Amino acid sequence: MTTEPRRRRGILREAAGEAWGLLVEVIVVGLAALVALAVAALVLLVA
Amino acid sequence: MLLRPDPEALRVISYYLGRVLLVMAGVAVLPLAWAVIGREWAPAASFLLTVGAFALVGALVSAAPPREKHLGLGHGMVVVALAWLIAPALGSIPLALSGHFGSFLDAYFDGMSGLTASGSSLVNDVDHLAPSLNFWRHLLQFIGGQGIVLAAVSVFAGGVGLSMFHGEGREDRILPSVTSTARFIWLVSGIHLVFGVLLLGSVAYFGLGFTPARSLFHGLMTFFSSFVTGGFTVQSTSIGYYHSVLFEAATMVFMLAGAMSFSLHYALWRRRGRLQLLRDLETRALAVTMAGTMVLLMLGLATLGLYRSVGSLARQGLFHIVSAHTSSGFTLVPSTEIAQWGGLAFVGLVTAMFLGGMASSAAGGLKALRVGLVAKVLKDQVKRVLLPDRAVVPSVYQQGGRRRLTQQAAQAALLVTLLFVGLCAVGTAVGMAYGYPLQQALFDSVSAATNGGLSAGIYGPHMPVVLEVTYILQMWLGRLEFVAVFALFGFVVSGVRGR
Repeated sequence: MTTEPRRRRGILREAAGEAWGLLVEVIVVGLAALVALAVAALVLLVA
Repeated sequence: MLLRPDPEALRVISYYLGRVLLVMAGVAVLPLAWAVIGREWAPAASFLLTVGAFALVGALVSAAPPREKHLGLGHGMVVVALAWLIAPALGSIPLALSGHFGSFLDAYFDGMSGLTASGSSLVNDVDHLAPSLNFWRHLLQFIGGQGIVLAAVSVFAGGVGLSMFHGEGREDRILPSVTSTARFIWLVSGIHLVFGVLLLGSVAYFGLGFTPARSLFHGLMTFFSSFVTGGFTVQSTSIGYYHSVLFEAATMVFMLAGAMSFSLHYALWRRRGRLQLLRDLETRALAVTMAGTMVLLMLGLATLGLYRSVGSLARQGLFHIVSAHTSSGFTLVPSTEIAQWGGLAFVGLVTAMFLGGMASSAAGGLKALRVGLVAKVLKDQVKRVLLPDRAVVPSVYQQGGRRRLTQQAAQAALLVTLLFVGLCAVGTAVGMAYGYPLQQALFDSVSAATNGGLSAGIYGPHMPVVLEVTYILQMWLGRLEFVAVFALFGFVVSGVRGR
């Protein structure tokens, strides 16, 4: 394989890794929102 | 016996300090360009003055290059401490000249708050501040949140060792050299910048009906502020201005991303040991304390009867805990309302601010790694008391692999914890000396010391000068995590009393 396609594939792999990282951050906020809703429901039930 | 620093040491310190300030001169060109393009002539003139001031001071102090350009640990720390005092002073010139600040000290407060990514502001009528000045406030945050020395290291490769890197509160090199680590951090920030402006701008455009230019402006400013866990906004009502759950959720994504250590970003992006991350002491400590403080805040708010529906309680609880725990300082309610959050709500919010984000991230506070280490030390001590005398308690923890908890690491974590408690206590005492109630004084003191940015109502243009200076010093000490400031103090003392 010549240098150019290898470089291009490297950049694509890097970009995919970065997109995954960003997706994880979005998922974490989604999960945190679900936890917050559950806690709020529990708290209002108790308080 | 103290040794007086030799002239060569002063030359090395001046040289690197000058280079940091020269890089800041380059950064200040950006708002100048913004002001010129936007035909904001008065701010443009003040930015020209700022660029000149940074360049002049930078050139003057680095005019006499040292014979040996090696920067030792102590001298690097002195450079960092000085840079973080001088850069806000020069950076606040356009703010002071804007007419939106009561005094130069108020502008300096904003400069320090911006660079330390605290997010507290004394600006009058921020809603009518020129866009270029708002851009400068937010850019100061972005540069400061990453680290002004880090910015300098990225520009002048080589020559600067680990000392300045550590001085800004960064503990780990992700890549083999400081320069490559600095560049990786800028790469992470750059990609988040593109994604962040797109996401926040899209929410503003499609969800809130803003014009394209306004969406871009609000997206850019909110990203700058949230990714470095800063807290400045372009309107006085903070994120509450948008009245949008989607915008709040998008802001939370970047607050959390900013509070993550860059080694965690690295592991996530390079797909190395992702499951291992869940076992790390720091990840667990952050998850546990964030959940715990959120429960406290929600219990408090529910007891006060302020929010009676599940949706509104979850929205207020989650957003404010993420904002406080990542030391961002965004709010959905005015500071006068936060001042009324007593009882458990107050405890939850102050504790979250105090604990802060991850080590080597843009967040402030004690940091989750130290919280985890202190908890580990306590747990081991209890085990030693309960187990038979001859039992061996292995002091190991997971953090990027299995690590042994050395006595040195435990002492360092406990010492910094103690110093943070002391710093918060001093600010509280000064606040109380001026007649503020304990709860309000403690809240704003913790906020300053941990670069939190939330306020219970003391921060304002009319606060006493001594209290304002105290908060400025707290922000400086908290951002540099003490060591660099102590090194500067030691350097000055040895200069005066050394032989």
